[in-house]
Amino acid sequence: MLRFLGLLVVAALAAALLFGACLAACGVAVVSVVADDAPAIVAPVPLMIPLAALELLPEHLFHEAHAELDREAGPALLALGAVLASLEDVDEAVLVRIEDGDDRVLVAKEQEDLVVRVREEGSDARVFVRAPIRALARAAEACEEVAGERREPEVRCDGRALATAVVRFARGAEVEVRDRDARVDISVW
Amino acid sequence: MLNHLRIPPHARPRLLGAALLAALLAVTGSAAAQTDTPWLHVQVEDESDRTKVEVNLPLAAVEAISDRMGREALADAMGHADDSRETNLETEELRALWKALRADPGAWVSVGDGDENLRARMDGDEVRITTTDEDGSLNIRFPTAVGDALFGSDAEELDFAGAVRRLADHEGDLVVVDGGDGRVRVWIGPQ
Repeated sequence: MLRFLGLLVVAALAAALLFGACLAACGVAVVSVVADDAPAIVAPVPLMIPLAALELLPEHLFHEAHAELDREAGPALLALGAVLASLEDVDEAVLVRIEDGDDRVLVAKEQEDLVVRVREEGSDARVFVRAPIRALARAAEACEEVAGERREPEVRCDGRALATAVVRFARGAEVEVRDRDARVDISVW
Repeated sequence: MLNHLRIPPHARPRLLGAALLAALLAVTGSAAAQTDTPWLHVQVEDESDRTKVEVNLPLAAVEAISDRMGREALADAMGHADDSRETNLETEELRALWKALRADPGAWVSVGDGDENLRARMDGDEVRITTTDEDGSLNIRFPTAVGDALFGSDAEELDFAGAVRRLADHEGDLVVVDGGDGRVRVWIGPQ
């Protein structure tokens, strides 16, 4: 009996260690939603869950994503991949700065991340996004140019590989959206 | 620390010196590579509605964009430019203009029609395009090699990526537009 209990404890410890190792390896996203007229929500989401889900989702869901990307975002994604690759080796820099009256948009490279800051004075809205360039570049690598049925080549993206790259390399990513009444934060650790 | 390594004592100073030299070369080489990389800078200011736009990109990024999206982007840009300037320059017209400039370096060639006073001239290794009217002035200058790359072949499509690659040899202003409340400046320079 004691031996069985001992084995059980060892198995539980091993499972806990394995779980901890998976958490550490895959990362955790912490989602926080705070609104004036609703209870605050803070939810840690281990990234191994979306990673596992991506492996299990049926293929036809990603085929639909293909069609959408082919038509609209394909060429931009291909260009984005090359642009990100060229940014990986440069120093920190302001890439785009737009000032329209009191509204501001800033896109910059900070450390190894692409950072976007948007501020709209009228609605007091703020958006802050920090995305590791490596994650975006890997996501863009999921797209490639193929010979299309029409005269121009088409761009096809592997939706599963794209989403997996975003989740897998998302550590360090931050999203912060706030206005007068609500605030949403997502941090990936 | 070197005591733990199996290196003869007489060789240690040389090894340290070599390591320091290698580290110095790596640091200065990396810094030089980063500062030498040309960047494309764009500044647009419109005082009438307090708008400012600033874009700074390494030329390698611009090359990537022009390679993938150049034709559509330039077509859009020319479409907007056409709307505002009431000109309609097709690829073949641009190519013909380039040949005219190439055939008679130093001579002014008029571009567009009617009221437009757009003039182009090959000035040494550079091409200058200028226009002045009551709304302001436009000055464009770019290396001849850029035009050669862009219009050089008889292919149906213009070689935007090749033209951007040639811009790496250029430094200074490419486009300066000054008109009333608005200013546009595009130039190549360090980061």
